[in-house]
Amino acid sequence: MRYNGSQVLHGASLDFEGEQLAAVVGPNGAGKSTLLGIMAGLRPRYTGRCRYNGTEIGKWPRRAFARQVAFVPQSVRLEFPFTAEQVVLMGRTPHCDGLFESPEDREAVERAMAITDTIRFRRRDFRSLSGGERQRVILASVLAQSPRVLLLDEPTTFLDLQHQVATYNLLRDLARKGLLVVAVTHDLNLAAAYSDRVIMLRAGEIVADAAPSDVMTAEMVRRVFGVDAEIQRTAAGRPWIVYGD
Amino acid sequence: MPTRSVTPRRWLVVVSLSAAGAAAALVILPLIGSAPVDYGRAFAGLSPDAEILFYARLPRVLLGLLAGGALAVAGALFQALLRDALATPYTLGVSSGASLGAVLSISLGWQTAVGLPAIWLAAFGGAGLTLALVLAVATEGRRMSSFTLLLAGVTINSICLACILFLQYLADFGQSFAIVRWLLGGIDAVEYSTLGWLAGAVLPFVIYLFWKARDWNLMTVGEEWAASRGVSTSRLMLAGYISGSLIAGSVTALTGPIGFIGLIVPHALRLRFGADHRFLIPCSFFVGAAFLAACDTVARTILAPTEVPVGVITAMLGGPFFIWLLRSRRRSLWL
Repeated sequence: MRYNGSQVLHGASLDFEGEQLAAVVGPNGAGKSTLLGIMAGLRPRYTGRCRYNGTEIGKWPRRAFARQVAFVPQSVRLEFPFTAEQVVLMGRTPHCDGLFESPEDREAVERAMAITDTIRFRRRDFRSLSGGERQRVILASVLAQSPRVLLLDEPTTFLDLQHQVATYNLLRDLARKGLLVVAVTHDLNLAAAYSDRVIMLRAGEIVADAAPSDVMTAEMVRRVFGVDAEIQRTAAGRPWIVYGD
Repeated sequence: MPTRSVTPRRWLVVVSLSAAGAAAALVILPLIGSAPVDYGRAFAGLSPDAEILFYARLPRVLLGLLAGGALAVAGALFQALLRDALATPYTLGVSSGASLGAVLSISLGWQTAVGLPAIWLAAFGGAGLTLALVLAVATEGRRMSSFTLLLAGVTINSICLACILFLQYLADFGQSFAIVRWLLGGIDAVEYSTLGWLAGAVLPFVIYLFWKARDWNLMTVGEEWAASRGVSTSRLMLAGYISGSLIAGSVTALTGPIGFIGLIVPHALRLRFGADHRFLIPCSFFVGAAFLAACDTVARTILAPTEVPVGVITAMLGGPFFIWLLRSRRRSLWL
């Protein structure tokens, strides 16, 4: 797969089937975000093949695709005074045709704000929220989109520990309820603790693609990240990576 | 803090109030001036009320309404597309392109072409050429970069201003006065057919921009944000820039550059009603219309019989009001 003249992924293919939480990890420049962008239909000039439900992503009508696949960017910067609720309502755009939102749209927004714990500040200016609150509002906005696939680019970058855990719990629940969730992350332990599948990328190559306990080995971490790490096990039997002096 | 959600009821109330403001301006402003006018006498065709109303004041108020509404809508649009609170209808260089066209026609002594004042045609042509040039610079394949567009606009703006200065330097006294007068901008009484042309050029775009209001909401957040919610962003941006520039170019061809409306009206409305373009586009049109028509009435009466350039009035009235608005809202972080 190529994008903008540079090889993003080579000699490899990925296949995602529904109801799983997949984490994409790898060092900076490995091609994680570009891969996610192509999958989200945001990089139309890729070469190679990337299909959703059998149809090439570039061939999907945009609105129909947006009802299937939602994308959470790393951060969003707003210049103008939209409230948190208005930002969440934007997620309903691919579903509504008229000028105003329908009762179903409002219900979807209500639900999305409830599960992301954002109802408290629904009337506040999005710009006055903290980084973590903003991230949750953005997550609510894509949930309001009612997608079947959720693609997230480092969803926990601005979150404190409590909300990191809450977010990944939520993502895992969504996957259990039938969504395909693919998250790019730098946090190997969150990936190990919550995902069903870890895809490890290095310089555009898939070096591992399996369950966390098979991928997260000391040797693999050294090979991909150049860091010596020790792998321990959590009570749930998941790998826990310890690094540093 | 007021609720900012857009319900049909709230939309109807807010937009009707704005429209009522513009309608009030249309009825009241033609009555203001050194000579008194009576509607009853004017509609009965009695002189001089009919002449003053129908040939001097009403066309001027109508042009002020149309121009003000158009500039405010174009300002709101460019702020959304460029994600820049300081963007105006003229950010892409449309006004300096129009000015260069107008100055060229003054310098070359063109009077009329195809039955219309050459200065209008030259100004509109200048605006169109500038837009085409800026879009050509910023477009690569099917994609367009807002950042390159902004820089291209600023650069072409500077080039046009340099050309204007050069032409003015070469011009004789009479031409030089005409150039300065045009560059100051102003609303004059024009024929109804001209108003009809302007309305025909502006209103369909305003309606289109309102129809796409939800998409502008998404574009203010970002292109990827809009694309992942089902918007064909390249096509939408191109349509937006062309619509906004044609609106601004058509108005500027007739009135010359009038600053401030496109900046202050959308911001004042955002402070009051939030940033949703379903409010912003129609309210900008009506409030911008009433504001410019009122400023023009002040401009023609305050030092009568001398007229003050309307741009001076828009800045002098609007500036302090805007600063008051900013101060009163600062604590709630609106800007």
